Amino acid sequence: MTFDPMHLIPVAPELFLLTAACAILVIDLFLKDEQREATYILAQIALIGTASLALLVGGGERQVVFSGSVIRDGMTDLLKASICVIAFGAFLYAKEYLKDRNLFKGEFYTLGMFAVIGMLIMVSAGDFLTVYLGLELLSLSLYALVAFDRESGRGSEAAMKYFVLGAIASGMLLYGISMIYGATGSISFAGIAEAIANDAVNNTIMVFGTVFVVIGLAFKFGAVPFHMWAPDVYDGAPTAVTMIIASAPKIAAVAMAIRILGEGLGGINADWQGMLVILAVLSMALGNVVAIAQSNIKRMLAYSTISHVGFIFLGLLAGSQSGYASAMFYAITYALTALGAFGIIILLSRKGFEADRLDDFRGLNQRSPWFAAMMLLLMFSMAGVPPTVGFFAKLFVLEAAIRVDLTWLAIVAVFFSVIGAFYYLRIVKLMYFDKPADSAPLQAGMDTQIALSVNGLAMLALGIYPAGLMAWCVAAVA
Amino acid sequence: MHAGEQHGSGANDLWVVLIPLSAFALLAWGLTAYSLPWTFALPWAPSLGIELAFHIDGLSAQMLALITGIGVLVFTYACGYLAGKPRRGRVYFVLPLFMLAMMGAVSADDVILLFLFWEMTSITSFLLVGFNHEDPHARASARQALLITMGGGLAMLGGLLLLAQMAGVYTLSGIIAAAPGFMDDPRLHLAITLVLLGAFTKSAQFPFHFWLPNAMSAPTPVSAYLHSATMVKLGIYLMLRLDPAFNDLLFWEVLLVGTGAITALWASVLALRERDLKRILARSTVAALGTLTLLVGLPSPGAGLAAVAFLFAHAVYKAPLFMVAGNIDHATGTRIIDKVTGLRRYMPWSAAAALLAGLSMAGLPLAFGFVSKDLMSIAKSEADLLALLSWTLVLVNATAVAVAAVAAVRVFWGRVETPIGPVREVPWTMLAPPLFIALLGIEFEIVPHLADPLLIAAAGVVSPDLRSVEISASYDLSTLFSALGLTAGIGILLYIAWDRLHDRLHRIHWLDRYGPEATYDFLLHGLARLAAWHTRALQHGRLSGYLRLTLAALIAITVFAAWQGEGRLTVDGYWPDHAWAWLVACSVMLAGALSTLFLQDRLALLMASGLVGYGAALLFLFAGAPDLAFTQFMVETILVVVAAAVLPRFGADPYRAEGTRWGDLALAVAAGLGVIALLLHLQGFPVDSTLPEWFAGQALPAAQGHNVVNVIIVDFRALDTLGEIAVVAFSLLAALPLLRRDKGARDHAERAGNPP
Repeated sequence: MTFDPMHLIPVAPELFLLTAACAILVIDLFLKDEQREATYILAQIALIGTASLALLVGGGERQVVFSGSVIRDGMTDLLKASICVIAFGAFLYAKEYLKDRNLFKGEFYTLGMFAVIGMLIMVSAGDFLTVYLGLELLSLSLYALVAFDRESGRGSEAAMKYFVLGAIASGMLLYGISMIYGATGSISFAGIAEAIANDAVNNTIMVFGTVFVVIGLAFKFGAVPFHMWAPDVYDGAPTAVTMIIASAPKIAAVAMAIRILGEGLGGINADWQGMLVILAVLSMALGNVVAIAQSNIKRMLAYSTISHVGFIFLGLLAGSQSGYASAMFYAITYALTALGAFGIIILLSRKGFEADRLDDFRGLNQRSPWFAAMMLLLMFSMAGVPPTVGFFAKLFVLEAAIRVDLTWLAIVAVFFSVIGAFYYLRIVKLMYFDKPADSAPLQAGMDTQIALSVNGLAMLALGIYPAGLMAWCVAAVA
Repeated sequence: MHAGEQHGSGANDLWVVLIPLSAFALLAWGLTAYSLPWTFALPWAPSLGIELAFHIDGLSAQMLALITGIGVLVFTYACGYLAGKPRRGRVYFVLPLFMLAMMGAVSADDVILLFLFWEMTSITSFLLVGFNHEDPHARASARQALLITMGGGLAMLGGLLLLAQMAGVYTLSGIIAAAPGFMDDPRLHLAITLVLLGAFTKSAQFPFHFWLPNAMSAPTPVSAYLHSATMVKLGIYLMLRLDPAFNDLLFWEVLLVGTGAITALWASVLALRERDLKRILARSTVAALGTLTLLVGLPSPGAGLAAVAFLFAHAVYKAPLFMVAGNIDHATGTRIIDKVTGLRRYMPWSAAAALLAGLSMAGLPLAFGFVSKDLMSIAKSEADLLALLSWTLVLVNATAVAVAAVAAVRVFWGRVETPIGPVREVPWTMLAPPLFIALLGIEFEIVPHLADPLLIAAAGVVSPDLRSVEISASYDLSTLFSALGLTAGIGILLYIAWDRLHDRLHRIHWLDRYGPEATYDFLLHGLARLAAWHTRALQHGRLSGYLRLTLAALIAITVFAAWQGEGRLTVDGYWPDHAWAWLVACSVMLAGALSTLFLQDRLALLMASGLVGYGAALLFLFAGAPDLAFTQFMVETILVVVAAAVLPRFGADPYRAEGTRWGDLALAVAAGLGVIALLLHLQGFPVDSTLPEWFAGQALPAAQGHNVVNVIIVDFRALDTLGEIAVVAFSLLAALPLLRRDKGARDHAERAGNPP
């Protein structure tokens, strides 16, 4: 393999962020506690720089570099930028939460940045090896983040569960990859697709390999029956970390699924479609039903994530261009919605008080009509109520399923989203129809307030004008 | 509000009336200046072919006229009704939003747009019904109405998308035009069922009817507007809109006529069980909606006209009756019909309005003049069925007469018993609207041709073959009057026997226990119970349980895949070169694995698990992968040493075996057997040999080495090896502080002594 410096341009965002993260890690060592703000600002600048770089080197023809290990195309441009934007928001919301709890340390931001690098690598992976490296970088950073509050026993317990179950998932994924390699003689998605197209594969090994890869994917997504880690981790981790876990990684996971299932195993669509159907139905059913019983909003949102993963699978399993585009649209808008929802939870929390019970939302409308309205938009979007963007995300996914004649599945999805509406609206009811149990005023910096407002209003704006983002998603998979 | 408490006329708030008034004026001007239909479209989500398409024809115009016209009066009424109430600003904000959503829903042509406005009406109505949110009943019924109508709306969306898929266009007009082309599509019945689910839930058809009476906890202007005049008619509107496409379809007819008839009859019976005036009116609204559904389902063109006429008529008599019920509530503080009688002395204007509206309600069968002749002519061929339908209609209408009598006569003209307190007439803002609409209704009932232009335009949309000449021809007075007489007779009998019937029906308790509403409650609670059970039983927080479930799911999926796969279990075993070494390695691993089951001391457990790793390394060593073996040895050693250094710091050993766990044993055996089967299975297939051959071929010429393994480690994969060594070195460095126990313990003590 000859090395061409031009090959570095497509990976410039990853390289930039990696350099920045390492630099910030070192700079942070020399800062005093009261100067910690500098770490935060540098991290945010690094994220903005990465997003701009992704868009700057983006556009134009698809580029495949490093012997097919790395891809840069419309999908990477869009998803890298969205991941950076979501991470930017998460870092911003997290700041005051961390300060109040004595957790405002440089490690949070450097670990967060390493997680983002992992996601970027997953997005641009062209073979199984690269995707696995990205996934592990993301996962290991997240395991550490979950246990970030070292004084919290629940956090450590959650991290342990996450790690053990996540390690099993990684094992499954590797096992599947090795079988697929054995069957096709290639680990690059293009090579695998070619082998399948030439009918030069051993079918049985291929099917088993696909089964294990899909199980690994399902674990990382948190799809039923591999979801058990999600509620405990969401609940046990500090809210700022839960916010990161719940948002951007879903975008990276969708990218990984599109690369593996679409670009690599697209030729044997029939073999994995059935599995994804089962996972999607189980996820939508369990996620939506069990969320009803939760009194802790972080756990509720964990189950809600599980159900949304079911919807994302609906788009993926269609196996069509429009299906992938709709899954991508869904993941991006869902990440944005989850970010906002956790942002509001953080807004309601303050020193010595975690607003993680549903009851903490009682009478929010009387305490702050504006942020109650933002939460209303976010919850409507999660429930898929028009004209918020969540409705269009669901619509595009259902549309994709109907187009490939999976009408019954679309109807099942509709049925469960009705049940889903139930618990999102319960929060709306609590905010608007109940008396506040707690009359303390909301404390938040101007930056958080503005970001949350933009985040909430984006639900409406993207819902009124979904064409722009949708066109981008369609172009990304074309 | 309690008796005697007055808050003025609310005239200060009257500016809100400008909103519906200007909409109504605009519509009236448009209707005179431009001929129907009006269409316009803007691109919206072009990648899916969705656009902001509106199409306003006669039917839409009639609905728009109702929405804005009644809107003017309801807004006026609301000013008086809400005068002095806190949070009335919310109603003034949401009510116009609702009106806009309604206007959008009846003029949208794009199916997505229709759904959007449709759901917007559900959500705004949720906020309006829950206005009295101190009342838990109001909150529960707001949620119930929302869940049912929104769920139905989502089903409708599915159906509309299916229809759009079959027709290839996303507009209602396009779907109707393309309908003859997909009449044989197997998905048609499913699509129709789904769309009708939306229409039935919105228009409170059986078995979804129960949300409407419960929604009566809304403020009265909201009930008058949403629950009688406009929103509940949206489902009827959609059925009317789609009727030209599916008119000839037996499935469509049966579903509509059947559901409509059952709804109408059932609601009439239930109306007799109520004592709350507003709930009685709500039940009779459900009956009217059932009748409308039935009319839409009838295939004759006259039925379409009758439906349109009845839709209009119902709005103009039911809205004032609701308002009058609100007036009574406002003035006396109660709506129970036993407590209020003889109110005419105190509330003469309300009494007049009630009488006018009641007359027009009782005169309802006039509207059926349009349909009666058609019914008679078809009846000759299908006499039995249609006779049944006619009797249903007569009974339903008779109940309507009785309800009208209760609302207009009983409460105002009955014997004066002890009054509840000082009762005064309500302010003019609450009197003018019902009086005005009721007068309009009377005019319309007596001279039905007054509203003709609009009705004919609307009916022309539903039944394109209809000519205005036929309308007057089909109006048959003689059959009409006989029907009227019969209906009125039965109705008066029902009115006289009201109390006795009520007592009889009220005692039938199983109606409460097994009805659709009980089913709804049961399902809702069942769902919550199921969710709670799941959390207790599966999401208990114990990692061992999660692992169990994960393993079980893994086995299930793999077995499923194997069962689906085409290959059979082929065993093509071979005896390896150093068989004795393999045996030793496997025994070591087995010993390690089995010891973990019986040991309880943590350190011993750690050693046992280290044994498994060493066994694996041994296996690698003899299976031709010495590089892997060395790495494995190294990693395992470091792991055991570091873990052993850390473990004692955790204090007492909390681990206890819970006796024999047979389930775990079964799971473990199943997983083990599964892996064995899988490996044996895979053994039978040739594995890609490109790489081994390449390494073997290139070792000597490219790397000058005879030992292929060595060459791979230090040459072909020199960088990998370097990386591995570096990783091990780094991890040792990282573990160093852990190994320096004393210092760690001292640090800990320091931290404990000086909390930050």
